[in-house]
Amino acid sequence: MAFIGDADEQNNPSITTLKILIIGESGVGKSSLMLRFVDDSFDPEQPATIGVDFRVTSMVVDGNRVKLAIWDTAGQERFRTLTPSYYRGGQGIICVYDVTNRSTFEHLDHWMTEVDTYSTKDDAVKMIVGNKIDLPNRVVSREEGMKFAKRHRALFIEASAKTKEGVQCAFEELIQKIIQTPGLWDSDKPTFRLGQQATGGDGMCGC
Amino acid sequence: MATEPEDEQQDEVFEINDFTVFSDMERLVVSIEATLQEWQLTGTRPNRKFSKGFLSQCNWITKSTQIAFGEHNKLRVSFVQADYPEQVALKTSKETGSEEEDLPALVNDLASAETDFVSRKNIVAMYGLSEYLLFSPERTVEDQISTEDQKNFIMSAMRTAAQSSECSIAMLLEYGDVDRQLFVGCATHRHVHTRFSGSHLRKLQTRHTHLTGLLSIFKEEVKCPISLLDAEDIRVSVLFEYIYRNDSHFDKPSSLFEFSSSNQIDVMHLPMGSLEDPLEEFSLLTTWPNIKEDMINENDVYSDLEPQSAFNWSAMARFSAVEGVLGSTLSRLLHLPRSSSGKETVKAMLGLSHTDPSATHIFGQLTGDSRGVRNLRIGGVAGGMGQVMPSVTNPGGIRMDELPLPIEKKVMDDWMKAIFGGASLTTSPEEETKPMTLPKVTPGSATRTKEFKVPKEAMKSLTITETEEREDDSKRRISELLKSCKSLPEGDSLTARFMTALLHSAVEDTYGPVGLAQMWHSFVQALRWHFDWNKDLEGIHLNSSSQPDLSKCLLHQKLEMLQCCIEARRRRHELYDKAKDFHTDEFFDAQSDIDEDDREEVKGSAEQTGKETEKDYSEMEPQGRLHPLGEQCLHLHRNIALFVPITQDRAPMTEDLLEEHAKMLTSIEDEETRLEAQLDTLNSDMQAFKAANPKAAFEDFIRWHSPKDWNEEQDTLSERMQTPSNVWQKCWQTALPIPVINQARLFNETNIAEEILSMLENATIGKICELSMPTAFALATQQLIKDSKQVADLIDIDKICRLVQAATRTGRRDDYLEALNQMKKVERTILFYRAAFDRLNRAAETSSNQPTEAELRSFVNCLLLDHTNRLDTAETNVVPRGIQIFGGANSSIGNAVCQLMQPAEGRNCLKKPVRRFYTFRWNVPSPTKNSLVLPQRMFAAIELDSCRINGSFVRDTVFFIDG
Ligand SMILES: Nc1nc2c(ncn2[C@@H]2O[C@H](COP(=O)(O)OP(=O)(O)O)[C@@H](O)[C@H]2O)c(=O)[nH]1
Ligand SMILES: [Mg+2]
Repeated sequence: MAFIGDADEQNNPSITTLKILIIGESGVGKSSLMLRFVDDSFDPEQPATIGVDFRVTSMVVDGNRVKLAIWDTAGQERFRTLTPSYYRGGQGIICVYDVTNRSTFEHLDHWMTEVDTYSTKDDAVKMIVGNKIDLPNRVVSREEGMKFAKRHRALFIEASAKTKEGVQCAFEELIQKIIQTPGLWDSDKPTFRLGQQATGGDGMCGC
Repeated sequence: MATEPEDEQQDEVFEINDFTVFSDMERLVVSIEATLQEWQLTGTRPNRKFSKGFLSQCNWITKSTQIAFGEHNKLRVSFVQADYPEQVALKTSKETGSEEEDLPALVNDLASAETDFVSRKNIVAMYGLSEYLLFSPERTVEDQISTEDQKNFIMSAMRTAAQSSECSIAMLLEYGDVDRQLFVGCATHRHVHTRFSGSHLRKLQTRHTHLTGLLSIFKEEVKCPISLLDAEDIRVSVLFEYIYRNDSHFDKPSSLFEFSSSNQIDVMHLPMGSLEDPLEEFSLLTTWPNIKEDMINENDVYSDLEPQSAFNWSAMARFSAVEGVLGSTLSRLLHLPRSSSGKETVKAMLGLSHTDPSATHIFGQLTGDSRGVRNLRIGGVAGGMGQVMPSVTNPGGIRMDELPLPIEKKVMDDWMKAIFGGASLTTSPEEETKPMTLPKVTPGSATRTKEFKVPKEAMKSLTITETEEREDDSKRRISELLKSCKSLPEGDSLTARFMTALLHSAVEDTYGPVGLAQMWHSFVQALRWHFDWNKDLEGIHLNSSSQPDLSKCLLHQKLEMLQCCIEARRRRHELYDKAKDFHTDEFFDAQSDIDEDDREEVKGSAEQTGKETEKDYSEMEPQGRLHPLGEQCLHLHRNIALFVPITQDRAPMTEDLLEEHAKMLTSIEDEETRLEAQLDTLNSDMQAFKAANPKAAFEDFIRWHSPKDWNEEQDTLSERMQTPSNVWQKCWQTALPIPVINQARLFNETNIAEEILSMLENATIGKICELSMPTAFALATQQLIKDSKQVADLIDIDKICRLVQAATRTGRRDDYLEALNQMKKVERTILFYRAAFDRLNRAAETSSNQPTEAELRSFVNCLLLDHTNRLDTAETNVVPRGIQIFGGANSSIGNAVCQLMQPAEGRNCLKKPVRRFYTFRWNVPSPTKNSLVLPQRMFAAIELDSCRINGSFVRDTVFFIDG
């Protein structure tokens, strides 16, 4: 697996575009994980997300180029009413908690319920990420995280956006899993759409 | 090869056998022989004795291949055999004595009554065989065996091959037209030869029509060489079929007409039923099996074969593939978008001007005071598609209720009342509430007092019966599948009621989809009325986030959104009223256009005073407080409580709006600008917070808004919030203290509602169908589940649920079509069930020996299963087969059948059998008195205008001299 710049679009056109969502409590490191993955950078001063933010990137899985639209959401209560709307059509959902903050772990239940209610893809691949493992004051053990992931039939990994650990691996695992799930993704239509919808265009009113 | 020496090649050539001079006959014989070898059918066949009734139920194994005959023709050779457990067959063959081994296995079959009237395989019933080889034309027309020469040619090839391979299996050749089921054949086993012959007559002699006549034909054929007194008895099996034909003058069961026209208001049940009665024929089959010839009597003047005296009764029903109303209505929805009326707008179809601006507020149509009507079109018949005639044609402005539309105004009012949970929409609400905008409402006079089903009550009774039933696995799975359909929520809802009404209006299609358009239009006008009067949409239950549920279909989302608008406006209104109580100042005005000006004013003054602004505002009266934030106090003023402000709602979004919004965001390349585009909500919160807490600092705001960015222990902001240039701080610095009431609206409910209403108002017929599809299909599935309880074993509801779920999610027409096909099948099964059940139930109603509901239900289920099985078999059965009625005429089911076929008044269908079947069997020495005693068999099928006779005659070919 490797990253390819946009210049390669011509040589190796993407087979599909995947929508990945990152959710979780505010401050757990959602934006940092995204930036680490997309830009390979870490900025402690990265402002708290307002509303939603996203990045587009691409990656090669088994020789096939896959476009990724990664949606990063704000975790604050006041921004929440809108975020579920962005779950629509997401093939991968990354749910992040902070291993040094138990309440962010305890809130995972809430996030998973929301995913189940609002995700339009039944078989969307879920991944639980325990972030900030570089910090010394861990309060949520790896086992606890794993147990939670098992209950929700999700992938599980611990990571640190700061030290890079586990970040690349997390995204790769997720994408691989999505690609292996039949019926979860459609081949790319000629035009690239970010918030790819559950389809419907080629539907009813063909008149 | 090329490298090999030349002489070797020549050697090989000499070794090749030359078959080029082989005759057609030789070739055919060789082909048959090869097939017999391959299938291992040579040599003695094991004797097989069948347990009672086995052959009429067992599976039939078929092997088949194709062989050429003549220049261009092909025959299909099939080996057919009753699937009998191998070990049983072998055992019987070992048990048989050495003497019997000289007889072919088929002799057992011929002598046994087990093959009588086996209906699945015509040859079995006609010739009394449990295994045979059938030679039939490969292609029904091109390969048809039509001449005597062809017949003899193949027959002699068959015979030669059988003899040379020592194959004793019966071989039959199908000749003539397939429909006539004509066969001729033979079987050879050493010196025992069997001849199979048949005839199918279209002209009947009297002796072909009764037992006595047929018996004499049989005797003539067998030519018994010994005295009849010395011979064994002839045995006869008889099957009579009595038929009840569904002629138009028979009255139909009422349940078939459960579907209502749009004149019957029912928002709880979808239109179901059928215009035609699907029951074509109902047959009673009576049998007298294996009786001595002299025990029964039937000739042209007398018969003692009364149905009541028969040993066995069975029944059969034949149904015609009628189309159910539900299926045809759904298929109309699917096909309309592609039809010529698909592009026509609702208004154009109803003859309402769509250019008239007042038409967007034609609530008047419901009150009968419309000026929106600009032309007149009679029931959609006249006028071209989409052509709206100029107003000249209707200068006086004919009122909508005077237009000749399929649904009467009064009836439509009732529909609307039922859809909206009983609220009368024809008058203005009595409450003091004034309409928010200036509605063009003229309070009309309340009319109508017609009975209709109140949804809530109906719903209650529905839930009770449902909880009473035990929840099993499949039920739960089905309910899960239904829930995950992208359509409408479970249970009662405005969407469900409306869609039910809409489907009712789409049933009648004589004048095209005008009724549909009318229902849609009236509904949208009623929605507008609700919005104008700020009345909640009864049956739209928003979730806690007050957002449309994106897991539901677009139509439902739009209705939820409209309810969001209604609620938002009411809240705004209340807020305005509250504010007015405190300040009588004109400054506070809820009108948004004034809001804008105010904001500008405040902002302007703030800019003028520059840096001093903050201080000025910190002395302001706090405004727009909701409640204190726990026990917390301001960071810098420990004696002042921290208040949560009244905030604006996030603008709710339906999926299409969301899609647009997401597109807008993605189209912004620049990160900063993208952020800015989303800043309005944060800014609104900051303004409200500042107004509620005039002395508050940024830290206070963060403590409320993003508590995770506040470090309790160290009493500091998180690192990312401390960064000087960060967006949050910048936004805070510029935010002015403005309570929500004076803020620019983030959610302009009036605009959104107007957008929704005008989208619905100006929809084309195609769009209507597209919006309705998910809801209509989900509701139809629920209806089918409810109505198919009696036939649950015959149908696959699970499959329908899966298909509908997929269709509502993909929205693809093909997926809907696939689901529809399944649904039609189920609806048909329900209709068949009702047609048979109700008829039998009613027939026995007055008699004392009435079957219980459960008895009748399982009997009718069997009839239906039998019917579908019959449709699945390609062969046309010569002998009918039915569902056995245990106890015959004396049983309750038998009684119901009797009552149906022999009503007290009306036609007596039991007087005369319509079709009669006979099997004769006789063991006699053949052909001479010293020959072996061998079974002779004859089958006859007598119908009104045709007669079929088939014989299997076995002969000993060892020559004995008579005497
Ligand atoms: N030590 C450490 N800090 C992190 C890590 N990931 C994020 N942070 C910090 O946690 C804070 C919140 O991160 P952010 O990505 O904005 O969280 P978000 O609100 O979930 O998007 C920031 O100050 C980050 O610098 C990590 O892996 N290790
Ligand atoms: Mg963030």
